[in-house]
Amino acid sequence: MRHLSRASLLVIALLLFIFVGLRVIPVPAALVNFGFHQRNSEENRQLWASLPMQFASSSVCVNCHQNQYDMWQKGNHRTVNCENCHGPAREHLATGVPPVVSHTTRELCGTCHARLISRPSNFTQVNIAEMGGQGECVTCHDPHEPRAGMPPQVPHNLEGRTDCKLCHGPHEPWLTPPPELPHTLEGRTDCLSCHGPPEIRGATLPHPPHSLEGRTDCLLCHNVGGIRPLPEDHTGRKSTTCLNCHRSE
Amino acid sequence: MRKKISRRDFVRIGTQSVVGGIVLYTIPALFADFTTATANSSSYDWEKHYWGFVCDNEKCIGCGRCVVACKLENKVPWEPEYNRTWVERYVITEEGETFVDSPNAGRDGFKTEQPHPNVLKSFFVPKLCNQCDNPPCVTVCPVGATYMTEDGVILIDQEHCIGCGYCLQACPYGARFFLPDKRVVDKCNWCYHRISKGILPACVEACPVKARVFGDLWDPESPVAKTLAAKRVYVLKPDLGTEPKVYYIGFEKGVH
Repeated sequence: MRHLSRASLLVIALLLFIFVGLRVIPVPAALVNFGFHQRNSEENRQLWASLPMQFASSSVCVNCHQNQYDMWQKGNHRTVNCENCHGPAREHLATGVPPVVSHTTRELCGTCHARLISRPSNFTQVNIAEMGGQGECVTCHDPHEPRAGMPPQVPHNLEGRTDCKLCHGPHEPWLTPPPELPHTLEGRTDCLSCHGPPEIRGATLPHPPHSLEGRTDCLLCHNVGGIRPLPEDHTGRKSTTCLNCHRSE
Repeated sequence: MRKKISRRDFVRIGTQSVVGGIVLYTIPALFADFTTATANSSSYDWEKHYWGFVCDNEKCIGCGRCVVACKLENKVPWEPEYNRTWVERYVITEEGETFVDSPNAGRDGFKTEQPHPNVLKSFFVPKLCNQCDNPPCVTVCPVGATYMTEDGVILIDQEHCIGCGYCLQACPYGARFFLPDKRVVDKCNWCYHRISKGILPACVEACPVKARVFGDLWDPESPVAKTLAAKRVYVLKPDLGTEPKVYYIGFEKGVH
């Protein structure tokens, strides 16, 4: 009988090994941690939540860059976050190393403002290959406030109307009067040459009063201190962009 | 002289030590703490939030700043094959044909027009993980490496992922991809490290036209709840029953 009990003990041990031992040995502790084939989701969630942030948001930039922030806040680019052009602020905040001021090429402006049929029609789009010549857009447009120093644009759709004074002149009593002209006209007749959309605006600004034959560098004569210096709000502009607004015909 | 040991004793001692060893090795594992949840270190209460997302196709200008911001924020490989979010361009012709493209996933913006004449309408559609309420990717994962948190975000345990790719097949929105170096799956998690600190996802911060709206579905004052209350929205592939939490404004047949 002794050998029988020993045999049954061996069988029990074998079964224990097969059903308990083999189950535990090849399964790492991490797998049993949360029930079979389950990860510790709380631990993993904490891991995801603890990753460092790269973008700080403009509300952090204002702490040091108040001037640029104020200008940006008033301008049409106020919805474009600082870090969109300047890059994520994390390293700049941690080490003080100046951020990579992003390139100021026409292509960068074109990622938003190049004319595309797919863009919403009410979004500002220009022919990026021709708009303002071949120079950089930032020559005329401050990226923090792209319309700084420029006459305000007509704030509504023109729908084919050309005579602004029909509504905005001194007039018959209106039910809801449109705003009257905010400045004297002094002989100016074409409002849209300054306030119109770019297509109209560029073609109607003052033309060069002389022939351009052979001349290419406007600033040779019209630079600050020249014969007829450019107006103050044109400071910093280059010869390459003059002809885009002041066309010769 | 060595003590001689009989064959019977050898077998007995051998069996005893093997069985004993196995039992001793097994005991601690059987009594292992099954509830080793780590203490919640942050003050963030994930049971108090339920996140939602709105993409406005009528506002999107296709600049791709969201794609760039996402790649930089989440250290997603710069190559256009790997994206947590991307932008698609839809062109619908007067003949009723639909053309979709996404050069470099929209990372560098859209430089050129599609060459199709007779365009009836065209628009951009931002895409990202929909964080479905009924996620097929979680269902198919054979090792339980991907899961939904209490606040409704689908996360991936990349230590646990075996890289089998079932979830890539299961996701009807193509939101998942392989990380090339780690050979595990990655996808958008709505910048979980930011939203759990009360900060907007990087793509939402980056969007210059507010075409991406993010917030708490349970908070009626959140931008997302307000948008959902004010606008007619739709979800991608609603017939699949995945119940996405990314809502789209600007319904168009054929966008999926």
